[in-house]
Amino acid sequence: MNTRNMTLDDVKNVLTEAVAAEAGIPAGELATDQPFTSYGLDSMAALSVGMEVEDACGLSDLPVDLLWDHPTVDTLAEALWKLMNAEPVPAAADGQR
Amino acid sequence: MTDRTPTTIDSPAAPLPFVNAQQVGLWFIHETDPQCSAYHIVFGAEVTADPELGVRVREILDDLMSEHDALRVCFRPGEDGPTQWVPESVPLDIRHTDARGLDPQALRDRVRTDTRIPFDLSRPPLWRVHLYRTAERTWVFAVVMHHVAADFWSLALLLSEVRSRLEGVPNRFTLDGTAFAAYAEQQQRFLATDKARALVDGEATRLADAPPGLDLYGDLPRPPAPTYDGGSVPFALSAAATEAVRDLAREASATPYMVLLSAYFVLLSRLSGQSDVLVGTPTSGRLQRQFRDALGNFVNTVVVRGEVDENATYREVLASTRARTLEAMRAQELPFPWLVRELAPPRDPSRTPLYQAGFAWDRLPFLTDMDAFFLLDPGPGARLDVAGATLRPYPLPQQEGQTDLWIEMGGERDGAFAGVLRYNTDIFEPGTARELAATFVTTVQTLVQHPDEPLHRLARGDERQVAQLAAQGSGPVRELPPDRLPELFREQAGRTPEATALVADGEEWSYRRLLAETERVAAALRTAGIARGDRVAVMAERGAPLVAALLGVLEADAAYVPLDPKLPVERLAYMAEDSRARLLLGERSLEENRPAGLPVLNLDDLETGVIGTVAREPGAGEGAEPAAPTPSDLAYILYTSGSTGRPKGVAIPHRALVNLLLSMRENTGFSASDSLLAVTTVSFDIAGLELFMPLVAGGRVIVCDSETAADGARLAARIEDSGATWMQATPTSWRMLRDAGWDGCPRLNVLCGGEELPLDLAEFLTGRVAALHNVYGPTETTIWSTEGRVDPARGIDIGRPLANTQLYVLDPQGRSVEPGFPGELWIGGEGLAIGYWDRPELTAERFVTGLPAAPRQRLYRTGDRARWTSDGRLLHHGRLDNQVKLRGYRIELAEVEAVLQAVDGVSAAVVVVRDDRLVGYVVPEPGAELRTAEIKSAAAVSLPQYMVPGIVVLLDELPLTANKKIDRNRLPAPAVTSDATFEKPRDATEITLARMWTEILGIPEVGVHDNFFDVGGHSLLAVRLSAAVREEWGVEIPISELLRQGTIAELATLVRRGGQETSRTPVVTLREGEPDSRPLFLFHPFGGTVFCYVELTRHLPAGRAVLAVEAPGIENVGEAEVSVEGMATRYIEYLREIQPTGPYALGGWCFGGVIAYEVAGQLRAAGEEIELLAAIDSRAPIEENIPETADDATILSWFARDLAVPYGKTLDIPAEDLRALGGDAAFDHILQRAAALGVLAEDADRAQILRYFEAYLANGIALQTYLPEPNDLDLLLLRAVDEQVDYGPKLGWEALIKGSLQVVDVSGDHNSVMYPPHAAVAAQAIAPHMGAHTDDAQG
Repeated sequence: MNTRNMTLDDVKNVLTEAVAAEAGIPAGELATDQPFTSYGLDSMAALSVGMEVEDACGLSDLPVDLLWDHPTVDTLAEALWKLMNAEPVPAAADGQR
Repeated sequence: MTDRTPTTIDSPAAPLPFVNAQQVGLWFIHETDPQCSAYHIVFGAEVTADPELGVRVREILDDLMSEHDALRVCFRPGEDGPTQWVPESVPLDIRHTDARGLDPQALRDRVRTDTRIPFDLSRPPLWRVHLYRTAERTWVFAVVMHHVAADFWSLALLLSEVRSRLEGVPNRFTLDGTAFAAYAEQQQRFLATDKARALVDGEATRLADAPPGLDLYGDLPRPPAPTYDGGSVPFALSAAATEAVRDLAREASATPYMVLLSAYFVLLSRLSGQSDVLVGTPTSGRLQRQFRDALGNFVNTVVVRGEVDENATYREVLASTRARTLEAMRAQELPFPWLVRELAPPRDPSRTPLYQAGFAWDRLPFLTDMDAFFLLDPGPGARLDVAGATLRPYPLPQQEGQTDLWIEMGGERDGAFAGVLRYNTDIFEPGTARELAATFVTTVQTLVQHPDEPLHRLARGDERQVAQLAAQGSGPVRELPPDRLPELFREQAGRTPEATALVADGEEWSYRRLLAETERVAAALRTAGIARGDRVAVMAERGAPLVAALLGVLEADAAYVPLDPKLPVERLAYMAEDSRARLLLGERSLEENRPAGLPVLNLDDLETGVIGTVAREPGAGEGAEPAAPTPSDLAYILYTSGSTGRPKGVAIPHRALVNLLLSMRENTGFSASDSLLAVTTVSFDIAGLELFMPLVAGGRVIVCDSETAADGARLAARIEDSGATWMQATPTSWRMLRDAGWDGCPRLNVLCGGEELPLDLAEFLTGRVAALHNVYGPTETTIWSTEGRVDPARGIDIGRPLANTQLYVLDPQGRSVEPGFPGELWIGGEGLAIGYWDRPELTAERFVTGLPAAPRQRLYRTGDRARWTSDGRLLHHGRLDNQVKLRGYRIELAEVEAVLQAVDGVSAAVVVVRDDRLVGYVVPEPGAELRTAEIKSAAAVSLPQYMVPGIVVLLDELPLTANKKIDRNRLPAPAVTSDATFEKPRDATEITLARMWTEILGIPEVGVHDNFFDVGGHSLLAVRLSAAVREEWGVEIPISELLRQGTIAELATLVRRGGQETSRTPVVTLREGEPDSRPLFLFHPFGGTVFCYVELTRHLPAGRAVLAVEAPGIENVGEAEVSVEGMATRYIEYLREIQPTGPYALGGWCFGGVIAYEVAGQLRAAGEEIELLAAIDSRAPIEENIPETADDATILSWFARDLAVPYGKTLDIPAEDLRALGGDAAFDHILQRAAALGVLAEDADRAQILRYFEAYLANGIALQTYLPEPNDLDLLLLRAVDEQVDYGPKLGWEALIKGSLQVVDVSGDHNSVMYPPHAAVAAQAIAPHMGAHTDDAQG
């Protein structure tokens, strides 16, 4: 799946840019350890971020709850990194039924 | 009937392999209601531009239409739902209107109407443009797309694409017009995966035990099927509240959506009284990159299950909503219609499945400079310049009525969240919807300001609402005089001493006389030692002395306890004892029924003085002069029945009585020239108004004796000759008058109260009397608390509060509820009782001071549910404890009663719950002929299925209490004879329908009164059923009709009304067989019908079709055959149409076996092979077996008996009865009796009975004249061993059968052999001879 030579930092940068764009702030002001919701992101914004990720990381068919299970740039980047390297990604505990 | 003409699609087209499940769902809704426009997605704008721009836009749209499949799709019915087609070329649908003469409002109405013109989903395009020229360079345009083919996102993509092509700049995306097909295919694959299965299991767990419906209190009774009609109310939060919502979301790691959804849950919980609330919420469905720029409908709805606890804080509710939303979102790939089918929740066709309220968060991640164009109330100033044109928003309400309630948010105006509340006009009036929107805004603002306080501590309503409620709830403030009733009466008597005060028993008393009598009574009481505060029981016949006695007790500063001599002595004794009455004021004639042990003073013998000794009240000081009486003193104690336990005494002070009398005098304008006919027993507190109000107005009381008051005809005459201008009574009494033929009285003013006023009664009274006043009030707040003139056209309300009276509609926490919300009615003010006599605990429970709504006021808790309407009327919604829940649905019994009462010929109706079923008790109007089945089907026209009483009992009259109210506790238990759980089909149409149902629903059997949706039917299966009916009879039954007429019996009526079944051959398919298998033909027995074979067929081995031949005369008059040979010749024609050549399998029960024998013989003679000839307890047609002849009446009696036999029921009508009736009357009698037993269809008429009888007679003649030759045939004979009549071991067949004659003994007698449990045995006996092999030669 990993068609590009991206590093974890590249993924993080893609995410930071995408989230900051949705939050309407400069990328430099985004704290990567803060939940997306603290920047007022809603489900539509999450959809846009998800699509950026698909484009940039060459992933498709992302789990629907990915952003909720990994709600910061840091944690999401790691989860995506694992997906790109075809490793299993555990869902967050509160996502279990 | 829908227009089924297939669409002409000019260019060649092939169906796409898949339709996504959301589209299927919408297609079904459209099938159900082809006029539905609730799923039109609409965009409107006003444009100022040069006309050339229009030409350019048209070209662009033309290009887009041909470029993108998604814009050309249409849907046609397929076997299991819709198929999707994409014709090569589809012309644009642009509709021009010159609107230059129209004023703006007329244009708005026109556009609104045009955008709602329904689509035919089989005719593309499923989108169109309306263009209205409003000035030389100005147009209004509206784009309308059907949601089945496009979602809101698609519409925005289209707008964006048109815009960039106009501006000649490349769009930032490439529009995709084909991905929708890939989506459908991908979805199909996904739904077959284990992941999807796991998600469904999760959803089943998550939604387990959810309430079957969200019972929002509305303005209108819910119709049996939703209409999808609605309205919209725009609203906006304040900027501060918006900021608070955002902050709260951040703090809780949630989205603004979740914060607002939490407030919506609170609102819905308060509007329904439920804490467990399901809300539908749409998701974009465009989870993957490839669908982001695709045209089509991808939206999917998920159900969020919210929970509201008023003890929790808002932050806690939000945390729960957040978790629950995420749970719901995890399953968003499961299409909602598919999920509904998988979960098969209990279905009620009157509501959308699973959720009845929705919440949408609609925000586009593109086209952001057009945000204002998507708001219903965009505010002034929004504009956009595109390619030299100027666009301004032209907001159009849309997608209304999809659910009961729907809130859409996501947009912003001036930095504040704005939204729209949509409502279904089946349920809500526009004014209520406006209150709901205002309440939502207030609720959000209150909650976000106090996120850490328990909900129940926060106020409800905004300032305007609070002020409005206070104004509506307060009666006029009037200072009360310091006087008590005796003083008021004395003053009046002083003013008009010679005027007539009382008329009773033909005697007239002037005010002077009444005052004198009152004083005489008071003096005698004082002499007897009665002092201030003592209770005196008063027990007298209705008449002038009774009034003097009551007034006399008050005059003596004591309080009266009225005892109606008609009441049981135990109850009278209880009241006398409980009130600790010191004396009984009685009459000599009433000695017998008198409670023992009390000293008595007889009104008709005051001179004698007290009989017995008046005990001294403990603690009363000897010789001490009692203080002067005050208005707070006790005036009377009135006993009311509690629903449980002992009657309780309500202690009423003088002030309360005076307040009532003066306020009602004021409201009614009762004057010295008025007279009131008093009919109510003194044991009912409202009698106080009748006996005293005229006396404080200088008017006249006409006392009606209790015998006349209880007899409609006599009372009507009394009203007429009394000259009364007023009368007060319960609805039950007014109904009694109506039923007695009373036609009103133009001079009479009516006070009606004590029970809910039925609309039909109000309609009857209005126009027939001078004025109708509805009055309401519990005994505890003194006779009445509200009064109002009734205008039936506005519905029934309970009027306005009386003077010095305050009304509150409160929630369980004691807060005033907003207008439109349900609550409990509490009453405060001067009318309040002192309390319950000697019951301090009960008093403390029902009379409460310190509620949040009125912290310093003492209020009485009525136990009645009420609602303020948006225009300030107070509606009464019955007793709180009279609300029932059946199968999870809340049912207002009063609502069901109102519908039953409105049925033609129904005088009164009461509905109760017995053994988890609704039972309706109905009293027919005099002379009306009512059938319970008709009442039920009439009720089903306007009630949801779950509210239609399963049992209807006809009564001559309803049991009443002494106060002339309906006594629900004394209704008889319903006989469960005719409403047995399972009813068999009764004619060929019903048999065929029942077969279709069992096949479609996959269930072994079905009763003719089972509702399709109760036994597992859903919309997809309904389409199949509709198709099967069309195939069989050529009758079109729209699915909407199926929702309303959902039982086999009802459908059969529709089919028969369709009128095309008469042309078909009389061969009824009892069971379909496998292709290429030979059917088993069964021939009708004596009488010609074939339902006797339904049970047998169920037990015959599967694989081979079972067809039954009915006598042609059953359906068509004049076609009865009178010879067995003739029958056989004719039936062979039918057989050969189905199976042209042998070998044939033939059989029949009773006479059917004889026909089979003849058919077999004729077929054999024609060279055909007979595979099987079976006769079930058929007696051989030989001389010895010929039945005796009988006269017509006897045969008619047998005929009636045989009608009921197949149903295991008995219909014995002696021949002599029928002979006495003669002719048509005899047939009508049989018809009536048979229908009552349920053995004939509800719509059976005399013509049908006549046809049945003709066939029966013809069969009889045929049998008597049929003496065939022996034949070289084999016969399988089943002999019913329990049959009493002996026809020999082989029933005589040995004389006719030259081949092998095999006799198998089976259980049962001649009749029961065909019915459970014996039919299974008969089937077993036949089974080995049916070897379910296929025949290659066939077909």
